[in-house]
Amino acid sequence: MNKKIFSMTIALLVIASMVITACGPAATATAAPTTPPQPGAPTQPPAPTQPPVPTATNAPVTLTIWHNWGPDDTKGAPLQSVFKDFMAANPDITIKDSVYVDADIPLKVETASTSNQEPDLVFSVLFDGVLDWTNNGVSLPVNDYIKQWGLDGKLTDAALANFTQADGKIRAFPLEGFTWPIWYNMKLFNQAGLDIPTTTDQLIADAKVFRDKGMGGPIIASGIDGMGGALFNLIVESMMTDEETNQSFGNGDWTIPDAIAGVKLFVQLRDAGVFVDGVEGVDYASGDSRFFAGSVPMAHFGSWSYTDPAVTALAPDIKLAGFPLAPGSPWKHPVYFSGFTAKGIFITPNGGAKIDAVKRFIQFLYQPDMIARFVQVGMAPPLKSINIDKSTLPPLVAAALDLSSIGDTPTVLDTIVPAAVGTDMGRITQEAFAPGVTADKILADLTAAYAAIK
Amino acid sequence: MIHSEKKIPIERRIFSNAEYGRHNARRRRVTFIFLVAPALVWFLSFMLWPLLNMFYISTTSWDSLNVPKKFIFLDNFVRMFHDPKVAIGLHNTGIYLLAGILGVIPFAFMLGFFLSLRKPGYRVLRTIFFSPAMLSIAALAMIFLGVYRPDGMLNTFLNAIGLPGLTRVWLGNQATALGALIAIDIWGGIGFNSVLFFAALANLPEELYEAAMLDGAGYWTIMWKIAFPLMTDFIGLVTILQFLGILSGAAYQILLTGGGPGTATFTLGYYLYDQAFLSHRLGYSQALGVMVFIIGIVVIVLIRRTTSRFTA
Repeated sequence: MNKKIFSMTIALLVIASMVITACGPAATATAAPTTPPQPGAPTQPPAPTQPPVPTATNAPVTLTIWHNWGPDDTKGAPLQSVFKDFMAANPDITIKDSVYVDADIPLKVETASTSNQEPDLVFSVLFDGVLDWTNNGVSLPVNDYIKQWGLDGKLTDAALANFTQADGKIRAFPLEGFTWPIWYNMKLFNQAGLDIPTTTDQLIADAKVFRDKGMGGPIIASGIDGMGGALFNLIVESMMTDEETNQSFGNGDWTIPDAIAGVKLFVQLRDAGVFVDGVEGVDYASGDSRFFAGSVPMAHFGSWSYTDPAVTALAPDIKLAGFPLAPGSPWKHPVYFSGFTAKGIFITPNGGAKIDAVKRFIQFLYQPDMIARFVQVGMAPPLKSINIDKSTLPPLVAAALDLSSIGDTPTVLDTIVPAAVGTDMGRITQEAFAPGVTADKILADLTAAYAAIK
Repeated sequence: MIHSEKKIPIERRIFSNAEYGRHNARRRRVTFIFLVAPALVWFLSFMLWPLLNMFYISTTSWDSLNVPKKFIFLDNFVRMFHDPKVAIGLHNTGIYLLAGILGVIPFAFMLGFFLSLRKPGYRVLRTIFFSPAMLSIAALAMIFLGVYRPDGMLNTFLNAIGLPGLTRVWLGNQATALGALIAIDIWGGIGFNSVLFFAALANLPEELYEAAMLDGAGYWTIMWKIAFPLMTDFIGLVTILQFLGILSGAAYQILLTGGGPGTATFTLGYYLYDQAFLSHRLGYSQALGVMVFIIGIVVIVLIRRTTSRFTA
């Protein structure tokens, strides 16, 4: 019997080890870094600063590109048209692209990079671990390429600023700019006899009117996922200067009076009923569909939704503007997010080995006519000048071009919030939408999250 | 021919038999090694080596797959003991385990016993009970996202039966989020494990039940007084599997809550995932893995000892 128990226990331990080790990156445990460490060498592999030797221009080359602009994305069709036209103009180059979910791309690239199997170019959001790609050797800095390939002076300062590290290295070619305003359904506002609020006092008063008329709280946000977190950040940042935002969101100083005021403002608005009931359980997809069904007056959506087919019917009723300001806000106009972190083109070491083909592709893509194809579907252009006739743009895309005249733009947090607190921030802001959670609790949780990474 | 054979002396015959025996034993040993070697190589390469690596990585600071590791010995473990999230993770995992095991095993056993009686329609029921195991986790998560939405199936049902006071924002509320996830595990676990119990109970001799029935025992008595004591070893095994699934699992947290709201659904399994794949602290994640591994071994041994005592 004892033998039997012993053998059973051994067998179960083996099963346990299988199950438990399955959680860790066991397969990658033996993976070597891309640059073998040298004795006495620094722990960070130095990123190459010199462009690698180009391949012969006429030899057939295949450029592999990973991106998330598939057929369901509004930018999918323009991207494919660019690929097609590029290959027609450059018959010696074949583009082999793969579409992945945006959030999956960083880990896929990093894993592939450990075995030098990464694609030549990666279209990725600039956030989280991607911020370290240039330092870790996953991607090459593009400062020299911008100069050598004729893009110097053509990219907007804002776009370049988003992609420039503190040490001056530019991580990637900025591509997709975005605006992320508040969408106001004017049909519902008119029904309630209201106009777009510019102060939070007006917003609270409007919320009462909407509720009294049985229309519920006016703002739909996805409290359960990151998109709701962005609205939380916008409201908190509306009380802070960019410098203060850097101190609190970047360094974890949540004792700054304006940061405290921002969190308190969020709680005040939540408790005043400006959000739909049950906002803490709304996910992005259902928030999306409820607003596009025309049943909610306000939402916080980005430029990626401007030409979404689901918006077409509602678009004439929509006005884009910023979030109302509270007394004491350092901003002059209602605030919205705007930046270029939505997409950059990263050159990997494999891409560096085909630098001539990469150069030709980048130069082709960054022509004003090519970029204009993406602007047509809502993308804010990274180029200072593009050829576009505003009258031909879809209504929300055209409206977004005027946002800067009616709103202010606090700093985008993608490049500020340390990757290690990213998930904590998500959970804290998710919790913040729930009734009863106090400003003190939110501030204490934020402080603890940042303290944990120091 | 037979008569022409030379007679072999007895001492020679004894020697030959002993030599033959040794030769035979050697041959059996070689065959044994030959047969076992592939499994042994597989075990060493794909199980023991990653396991040893987990212990090694747990002693390093490793912030990305693309940067070298730095040996820091026990620093990750020291940090772990001061990390408030570990305490939160242990607390939530404990609740999850308790509810996930006590809510599944007894009911799965009862359902399995019911199936083993092979009443009419048991085949259909068996398939229905097993169906959650055939759905992918992502599909299940989508189903329950629809169930738990503020305007989802559960709240709609509660409103429809006149109980609007019981409606909740199930996944967004700190008080209900963990319970909502546990309910998914219980829902899927009872059916799946009942089929396992059915398979084991089907091997019990029918005569035992018949004899008990002749003595006037009902199904309830047979289930708990006859089937249950005979199944304690197997119940231990199923409990261990359920335990391991919950201890190291984090699928529903990843897909539905992200460990939130706040830390409501933040378990050890999720923390391990978070540190490895979201926060890029591979060394620390493996230190957590070592802790989970040790907890796993201790609890497995405890469960085995408990069930073997019952069996004895």
